[in-house]
Amino acid sequence: MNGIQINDVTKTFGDTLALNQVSLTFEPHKIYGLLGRNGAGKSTLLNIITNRLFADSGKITIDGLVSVENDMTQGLLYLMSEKNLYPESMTCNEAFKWTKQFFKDFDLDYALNLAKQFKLNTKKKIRSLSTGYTSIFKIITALSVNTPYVLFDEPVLGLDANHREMFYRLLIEKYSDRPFTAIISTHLIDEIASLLEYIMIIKNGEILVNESCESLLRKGYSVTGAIKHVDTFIADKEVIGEDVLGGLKTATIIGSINKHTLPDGIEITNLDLQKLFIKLTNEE
Amino acid sequence: MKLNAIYKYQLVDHRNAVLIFCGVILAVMALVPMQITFSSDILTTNQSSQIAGLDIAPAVFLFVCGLNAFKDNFLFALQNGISRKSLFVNRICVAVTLAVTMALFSLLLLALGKLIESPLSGIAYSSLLSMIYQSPGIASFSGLSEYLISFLFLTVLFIAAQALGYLITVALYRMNKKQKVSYIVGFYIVVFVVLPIIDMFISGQISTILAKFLDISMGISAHNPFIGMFSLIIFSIIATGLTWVLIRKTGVKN
Repeated sequence: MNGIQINDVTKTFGDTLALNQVSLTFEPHKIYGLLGRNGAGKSTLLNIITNRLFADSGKITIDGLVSVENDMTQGLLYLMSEKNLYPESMTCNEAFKWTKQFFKDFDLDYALNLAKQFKLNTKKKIRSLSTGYTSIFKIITALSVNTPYVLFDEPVLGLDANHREMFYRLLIEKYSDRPFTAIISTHLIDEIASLLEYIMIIKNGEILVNESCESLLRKGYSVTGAIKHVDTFIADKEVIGEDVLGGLKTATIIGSINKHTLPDGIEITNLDLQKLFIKLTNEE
Repeated sequence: MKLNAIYKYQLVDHRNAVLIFCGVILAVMALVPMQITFSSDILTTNQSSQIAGLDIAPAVFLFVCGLNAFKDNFLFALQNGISRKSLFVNRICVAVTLAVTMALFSLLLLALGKLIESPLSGIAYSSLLSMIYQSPGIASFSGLSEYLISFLFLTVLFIAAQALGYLITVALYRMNKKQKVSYIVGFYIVVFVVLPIIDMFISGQISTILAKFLDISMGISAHNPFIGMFSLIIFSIIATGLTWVLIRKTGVKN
């Protein structure tokens, strides 16, 4: 298995350059976070991988085979997209049954079990589902499809906190039972950060960051303490974010630190991924 | 497995519509003898009731089926990892299946029509084939040959009707809102306003040319349905080819 290899992919929409010579590799059995601001090119990339859009130039291979207009390679992928591509007059039950026809490893019993857990009425037509339940229906299908590569584009759109927690838990459970490659594009970075192994940040159609979550988090750290102490400590450092709550201040800093030289009254924690993301993707 | 599934899915998509349509047509067929039985006027005055060209209804129905066969199926196919090529090839298979099914249904109507047709009942039934190609006074289509030629002609006609419907819907899918409005409005203005006016000023030359073209291409004057079949096959190939050109680079629209 070679994973999904993207080589020099460029895509434009009229005058807008959505992807600019993007090259990436999604390796098998890893969980990726595909992060970027609105319009950065995340959905475009996922749509090109899954043959929904065509790239202007470049090449994508899946397990070494060309992905464009290839039923065999497309059968290895499943994209849970923000846009609903299921016929709206179809019921959830019908959609599950048809998905089973297209993906032989689709686990219908597991899907129905998840529907019960999420309290999704599978007799309902897709058009009558709320935004949250439409996402739940798509999440259930994506988790039950059992393809080697599952792509999630804004999976938690419209989901309440309980359902979001449930999704993250089920994703990890599924991944532990039957490892697969998950590519998750989301704006809720803090919530998803603990799940991700690799992070890819897209900015204006270009890959800004492509590294393991661990190494990315080692690029900086956060400190918390009394405002006066923190201000003194961060005076000569590259600060990318500050939060004040009561008399306490938390600052996010880029760079490394020797924990032994940490002044009294200051606690150190891991880098806040969302703060780093904001810093990196800020237009200024 | 997947290719079989997309064929099955597209076929099932038409199932209910086909069943309702067949039910309605059969009900219409059943109403005619009932109406004659209960109408004392016809029996006493020896008037006849004619059922003619009923098999044009499936052509219109299949044209509408073609018009409704693209967007949802295309998106659903992409969601399930089916390429445009596979969708398209299977769409052709579905169109042929539907055409054959409806042609067989039309033959059933023809058989029923023949069954209820008699001077005594006052019912006359004529198929589309005999309406278009039968020479007056000559029984060129009768018996098994009528069924066989009707089957071939209707199959080809139904394929062409679906090909046209599918081409229109794919073309409309490719267009943005402004283009759609201008093409639809433009089409109606040209066909129903501009052309008739020009035709009026040049003493009906356009309508004469069109009628002549239709006559020659369909083999009407020659009383030869095979010329018509050939033209319809050529038309279907051109429409299908154009459809493929439009589909092969179509993406999901936002």
